[in-house]
Amino acid sequence: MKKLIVIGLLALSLGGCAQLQAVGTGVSLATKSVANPVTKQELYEIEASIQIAVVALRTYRKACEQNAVDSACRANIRAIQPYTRGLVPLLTQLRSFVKQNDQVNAWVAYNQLVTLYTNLKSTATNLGMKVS
Amino acid sequence: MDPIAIFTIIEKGLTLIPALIEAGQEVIPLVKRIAAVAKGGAEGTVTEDELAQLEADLDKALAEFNSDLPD
Repeated sequence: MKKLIVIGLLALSLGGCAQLQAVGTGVSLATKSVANPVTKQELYEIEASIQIAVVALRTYRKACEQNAVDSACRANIRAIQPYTRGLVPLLTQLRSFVKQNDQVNAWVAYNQLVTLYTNLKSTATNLGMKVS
Repeated sequence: MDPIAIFTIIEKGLTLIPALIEAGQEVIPLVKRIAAVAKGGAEGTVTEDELAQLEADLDKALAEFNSDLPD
């Protein structure tokens, strides 16, 4: 019974993909410009949004490894991983640029991060994961 | 700082907590994170320690999710 509850809640969290949507809102899909610098506070908000999504994805993966979620979970995880792996270098760059107040490069990294998320969302939608 | 973004982060984090508890996952770090986001949203500042801790946690979570699935 408990297993079914976990599956249901994960389906609600991942199938509904509220946290993936949170990344989109947290990153606020608007591209950055000179008039809209990336601050440390905003960097924190972006990373907090992404962390919530990744915690959920990690939980989904653990449940998948225990055969507690849908049979397509392994394929779903492998389809999402190129995007989550792509987050790593972009986050590293964004952190460095924001802390050095290199706003021009920070905007570039930020906008690439938003584009990557948009692609992740599109892939998740194609997998039947509602993300918006 | 965008208050709507702050509220969305908090809301989505809270939405996730029941699933984590049911899955037997540790929720205290997530709750602390949500509290820190709320605090930063109210004060408009985030400390270096808070940012460093978040980055360490995110890097660890990403590394775990990004590792190859066992056959």
